[in-house]
Amino acid sequence: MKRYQRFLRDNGLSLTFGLLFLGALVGQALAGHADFNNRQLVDGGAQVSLWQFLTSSDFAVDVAENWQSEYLQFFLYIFATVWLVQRGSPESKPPDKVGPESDEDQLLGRHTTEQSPKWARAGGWRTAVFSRSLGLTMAGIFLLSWFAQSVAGLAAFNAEQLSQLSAPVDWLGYVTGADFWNRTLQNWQSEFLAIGSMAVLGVYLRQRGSPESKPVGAAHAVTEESG
Amino acid sequence: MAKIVGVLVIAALLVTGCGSAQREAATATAAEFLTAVKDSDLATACGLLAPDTRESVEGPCEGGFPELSGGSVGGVVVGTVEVWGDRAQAKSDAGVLFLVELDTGWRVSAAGCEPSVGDTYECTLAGP
Repeated sequence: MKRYQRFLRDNGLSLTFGLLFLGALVGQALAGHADFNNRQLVDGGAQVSLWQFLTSSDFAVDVAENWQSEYLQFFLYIFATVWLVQRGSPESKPPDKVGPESDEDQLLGRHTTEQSPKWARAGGWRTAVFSRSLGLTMAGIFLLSWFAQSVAGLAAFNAEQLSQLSAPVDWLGYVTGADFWNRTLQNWQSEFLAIGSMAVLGVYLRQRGSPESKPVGAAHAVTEESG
Repeated sequence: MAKIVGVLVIAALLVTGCGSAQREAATATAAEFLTAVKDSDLATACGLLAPDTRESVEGPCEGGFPELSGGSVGGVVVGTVEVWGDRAQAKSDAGVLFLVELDTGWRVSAAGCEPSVGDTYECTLAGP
């Protein structure tokens, strides 16, 4: 197999989803641009170019509100599955492994290997940070994109307010207001539903060959990590 | 991580339309409109109205109509003009003005506005 073929095979998952993400983002930009210009016609505003729309608060808030909920979902999922279990689910640890687990299980301390990452072998604060780096990164991106949603959302909301001859609000008024929480919560509910569904459906249903599923012949009661 | 923070902050600033150039232009239009109405210069005042607002009043604009005549919505700009996207709000000593940024520049979409129910305004001169 040639080198580039091996690269494509070894990275197929990330490459495919990377392309799907870019495709969907472009699609969102085009549809959002058309939708925005339709609303401008109704509200007596000017039509904007695609570039003007891409640099507008309307596009930014629509992107940010979806990103923040995805990263919140991952952060909570990664963190909650340390402590919470679902018996029989491929998304869960077995019930007897609740908690941060032993150093032996986690290949830390005396149990590191030569291939262990540098900060896993380093010990001290470096290992402490690295041990939590996935959750911390997800939480960090969640907080940043939620903040971006609040800033862009404020601008988009106030422009809409002014077009309806209503008073604009400040940032504090916006993040304690209906528009911000409506956008936030409608994103959160679907994320939490998705995790809950995966946790439960995976107990009883199978997808042969997928690591997200238990082996087809595995019992419902057995908590396996993947098929 | 620092790069991501930087990009997000810059993006946040860009999209909030923090441009002072926009605020200056909107303020200039508001001031020009208010002065024109006060001086009964209806030709200038009408030229500064947004097309939708012009069309919503009866009769030819330059011929004068109740909303513009008498200079009741004329005066001076008071305080800072607030700009959000392509919309702005200017406070004057004759009520609040709402402006919209069109291809031809900033135009007045509503004038002589006073706070009404909730966060809405009731305007002497407004579009559809």
